Amino acid sequence: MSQGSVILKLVSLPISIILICLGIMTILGGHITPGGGFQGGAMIASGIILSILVYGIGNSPLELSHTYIEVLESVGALGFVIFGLIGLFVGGFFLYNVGADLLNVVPQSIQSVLHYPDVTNAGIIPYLNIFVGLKVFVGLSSIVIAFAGFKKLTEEGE
Amino acid sequence: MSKATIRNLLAAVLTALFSVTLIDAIFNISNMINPGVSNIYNALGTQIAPNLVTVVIFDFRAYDTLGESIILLSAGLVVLLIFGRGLLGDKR
Repeated sequence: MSQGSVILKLVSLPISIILICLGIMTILGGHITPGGGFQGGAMIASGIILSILVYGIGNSPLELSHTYIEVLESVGALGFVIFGLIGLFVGGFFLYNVGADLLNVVPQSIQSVLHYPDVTNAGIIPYLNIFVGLKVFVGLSSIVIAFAGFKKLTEEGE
Repeated sequence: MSKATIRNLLAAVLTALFSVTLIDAIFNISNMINPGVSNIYNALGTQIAPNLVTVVIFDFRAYDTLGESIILLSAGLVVLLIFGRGLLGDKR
């Protein structure tokens, strides 16, 4: 799977790290700048994918293990749903924005816990951004890891 | 007068009528647009966070975002199921 070029191998690891840092920055600034969880997660996944494509699945420096993928995917999905359930039990709607609290139905103590410490009144939006970013990053990169692994298995089988 | 000439004449008249109607609609369309619920979104969304797109995606329509992430989850699952068929079972 890996291409033999030396320049490609030298250049692609720094580019992958820069892509991952840019994706994290996009996720964390999702409520004030353009972009958000989906876009940042896709950027991080593109960094991982670049590294896997260049170095091959077995000896990539940015390798994701099975447990890592499993834990991150579960944290992303369950965190989103748990934040939705908090909104359901506290505010009355599923995925009610408890931190911003436009309808003034949430007690002040609960609202100040989930209020994002920022000059904006974003509430739970940055946390949902982080969860969706985790989920998109792990989902996209696990598909490519699966394809590379299947190709390796097929080549070994022949 | 043959049949084709009559058809051409009819087509010309109808095209002129259609183009006049289209131009009229283009010049008067700004009076017909009703902003509707968009005013409420613009007033409420900027109270929450400056990026209105993220506010719409993660606050007003967070159900939608949940469904989109479930689409990604099922895509990964289907890739594992279809392309890994026969490969993963033999190794265990």
